[in-house]
Amino acid sequence: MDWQAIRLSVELAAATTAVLLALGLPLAYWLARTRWRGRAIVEAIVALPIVLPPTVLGFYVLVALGPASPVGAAWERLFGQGLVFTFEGLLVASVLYSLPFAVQPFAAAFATLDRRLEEAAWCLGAGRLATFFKVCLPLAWPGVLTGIVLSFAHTLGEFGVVLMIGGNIPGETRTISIAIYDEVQALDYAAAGRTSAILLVFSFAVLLATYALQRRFVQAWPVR
Amino acid sequence: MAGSLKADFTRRFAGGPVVAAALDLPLDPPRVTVLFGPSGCGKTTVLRCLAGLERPDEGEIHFGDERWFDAATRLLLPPQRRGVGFVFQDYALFPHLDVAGNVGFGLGRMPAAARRERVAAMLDRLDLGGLAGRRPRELSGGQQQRVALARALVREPRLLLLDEPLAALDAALRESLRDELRQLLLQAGIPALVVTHDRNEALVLGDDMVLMNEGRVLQSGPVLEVFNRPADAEAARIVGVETRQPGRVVALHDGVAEVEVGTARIMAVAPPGIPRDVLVCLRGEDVILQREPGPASSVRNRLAARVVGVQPAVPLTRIELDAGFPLFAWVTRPGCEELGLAPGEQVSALFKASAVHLLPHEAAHASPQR
Repeated sequence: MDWQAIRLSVELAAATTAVLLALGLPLAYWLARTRWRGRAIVEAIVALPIVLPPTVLGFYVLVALGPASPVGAAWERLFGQGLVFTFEGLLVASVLYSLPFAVQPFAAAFATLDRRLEEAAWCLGAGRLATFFKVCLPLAWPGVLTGIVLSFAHTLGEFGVVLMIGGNIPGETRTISIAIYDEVQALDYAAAGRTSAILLVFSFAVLLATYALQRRFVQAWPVR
Repeated sequence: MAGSLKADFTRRFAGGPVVAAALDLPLDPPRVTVLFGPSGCGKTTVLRCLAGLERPDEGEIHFGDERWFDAATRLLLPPQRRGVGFVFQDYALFPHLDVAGNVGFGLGRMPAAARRERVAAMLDRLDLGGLAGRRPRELSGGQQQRVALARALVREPRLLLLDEPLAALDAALRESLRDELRQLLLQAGIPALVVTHDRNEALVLGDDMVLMNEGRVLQSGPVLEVFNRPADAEAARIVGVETRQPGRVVALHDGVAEVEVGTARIMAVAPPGIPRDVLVCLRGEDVILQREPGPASSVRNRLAARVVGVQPAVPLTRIELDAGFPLFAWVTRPGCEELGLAPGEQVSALFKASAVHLLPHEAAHASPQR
């Protein structure tokens, strides 16, 4: 069993989810509230990773982060090594790849919030940020939880993007799905089966826990 | 608090509707002003602009010597800094917080102990003491209303804005809570502006009234003044004056006008400078119906009338009459039975000269020269 690959995958998924939480919550809130006409463009860009083959996304990220690109070159000057074929590069690609899985549930949750609750908070002296943390986030919690779980699980199982950006460096970019692929290539079906079973059971357990929790939350305070 | 709330602004909506408000509410002594008008006339928009929740397109809002909004300098004071208490139509209580959490929400910067004390005192004051740990969905409509009020009052706002505070309640509760709300507003001692489209609510709740229709302010003044002396035909219709008929002043002596309405002649107290063509306004509750020619009274007008229609309503029955012109009267149900009111019956309609309100009226047709 390739425990190193499993650990790396979990680390990548956790880091990706954390970044998506920080980026995705403000983006989703903005999408749910803006009356700007160009909103559809942003929504379409956010949703692109759902329909694009991971290899296409991986290819563009590879080009954008490679040593020839401004981003890759700047990163190399700052940290002494390139972005591609590293954990950090993988993280950037994973964030893009899982963006819709975080932003869409977040935005859906914010969109159903009664706007007057926010206005009530403003009239009670709460600023925009305080209102977000004291009213919006607690009420949108089921949707936020869904987004967290989906982006975590989605990152855990990614394959094509990793292959394009990360390659197959043990301990650095060799994730669980790559490990399974290698095991199958080596005709080691027993090992591939074990690793796959772990991923399957883990994913199912996480989703089950989420939906069970969500049901309890939703019953606790129905959002009108 | 010295000064007044002065607002004169315009808010345009995409697709046509325009709301233009001109208000001047004195703040000291605190009074309850109702913003009254039919649904969709822009009352809520005015309230939201005053709270800072909506940005007017033009104009100014001043509160005492503070400037809240000025289109010319693009100044818009955010709601957080206006010190206004807002009670939403469906109360907008935070569903994830209990009653104490809701009421204490606006006291965020206060030390926890002082905050608890303030919240507890406010809950006691509004008779919510035992409900501190309840969630909003576990409360009745009336309790929710009081929590919303407590949440606004606990911050000691300088102005209270209430958007249809009774509309979310069922009819039976609404009536009993009307008086209670009036008492609470008086006790609070804070100038309040209450939006309503219900005449009874306006009468019970308000000291003053601002009358609106189709995005404009038609008239403002003490509630009874606006109700009994509407400034024009439109205002008369909106405050619910049932009888509004064009007439012509044929004689004028000692401040009493003799007015020809339809085929009848009535006496009316004449405001100074009344023109010849007038609109005769008369409220149904100011008309008495009698079967026999009764004893002589001080009532100046006694008209023979034929019952045209009988429409039972709550709490009174509406009688439509032909007294030489269409005339409406409200009678109690026993009164209706005793008089045997039915279409075709003949009765006498009595009303005082002072109950008739005469408005200048542009005659639709060219009247012959006198």
